[in-house]
Amino acid sequence: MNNDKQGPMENLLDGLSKHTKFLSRDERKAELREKGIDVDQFLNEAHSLIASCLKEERLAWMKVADEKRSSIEGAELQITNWLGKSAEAIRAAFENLKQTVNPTSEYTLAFRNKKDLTTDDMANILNDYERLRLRGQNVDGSKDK
Amino acid sequence: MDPALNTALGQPDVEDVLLAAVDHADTRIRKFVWRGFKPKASKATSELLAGEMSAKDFVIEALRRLCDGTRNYNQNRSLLENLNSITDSLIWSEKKSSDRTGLKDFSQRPGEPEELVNPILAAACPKDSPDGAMVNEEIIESQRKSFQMVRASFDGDKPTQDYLDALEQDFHDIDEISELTGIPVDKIYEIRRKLRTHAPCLFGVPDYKELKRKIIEGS
Repeated sequence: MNNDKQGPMENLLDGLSKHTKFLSRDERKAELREKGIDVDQFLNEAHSLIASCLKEERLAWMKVADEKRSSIEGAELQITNWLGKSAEAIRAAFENLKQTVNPTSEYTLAFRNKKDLTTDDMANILNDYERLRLRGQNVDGSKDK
Repeated sequence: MDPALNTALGQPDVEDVLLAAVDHADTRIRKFVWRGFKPKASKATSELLAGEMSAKDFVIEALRRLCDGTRNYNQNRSLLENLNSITDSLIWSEKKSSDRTGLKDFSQRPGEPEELVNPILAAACPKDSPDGAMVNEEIIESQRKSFQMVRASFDGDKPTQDYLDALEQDFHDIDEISELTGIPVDKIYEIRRKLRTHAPCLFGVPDYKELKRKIIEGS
């Protein structure tokens, strides 16, 4: 209230309020009704609010899962299909990939003989690399840990 | 949502907590009456309002703020203490906002003629004014008279008067009251229950005039 010392009536109201815990639930409701409070309406509103909050809380994981799924689906659509590109474009992109991806990065290239690779093999490697790279990213562009 | 809040809301006693919270909020508003604030009363239900909100509105708002994270849930305190802390600040804020308008609200119950208020005469006096202490003394004196009137309405019933005296002196611990008054704890529970039937006199009044009228009429 304020810093003033409480008066007798304020102390009395405080004490009587604290001692409502000695009343049964029905007695307490009756006393609140005497004060003009629509107890049933209040409890309905409060329970409905609590139920909706608890439901939202329970379903929060589904929201996260939905966001992840749409992120992955969106990423799939963004993947360039290298199989349809020209042989020159594929070779250039593959050479670029070999130079940028080093053994210490998250993605590595491992195959026995690079010379035996066909352009289709290269295109498939480029597609796989794109897919892995996009799946490692969240909706906001950050990477999964 | 805070896990501790989640657990507290799922407890079987949550309804008792909500009832205690709304009682606390109503008492908080009602105490302002004894500081000279004249709250409005809802025309439909006659419950007291601070600003445009009733006690139950404040508790619902406090609950909403805890659930949506606007207010943090203090895990070291109970759900009731968390709710009470938020409703106290919401009610205080409404009261301050009402004070700043320079106009005092007035109570108006259905069928009662509208009371005209002179905004200059009724302007709220700043708390820190030089005569603030005198004003407070007057408030305490006025409350003392009202308390005596309530007490006198229980003439011939010494245990109830002793109980009221203890509360008036700010003793709220039941064991302490029992020790002070010599009334067994079980009997104090009974007295408190009995006082519920006097609710219209003790609690259901929006102002001093109404208290006096109800006590005199014995209604």
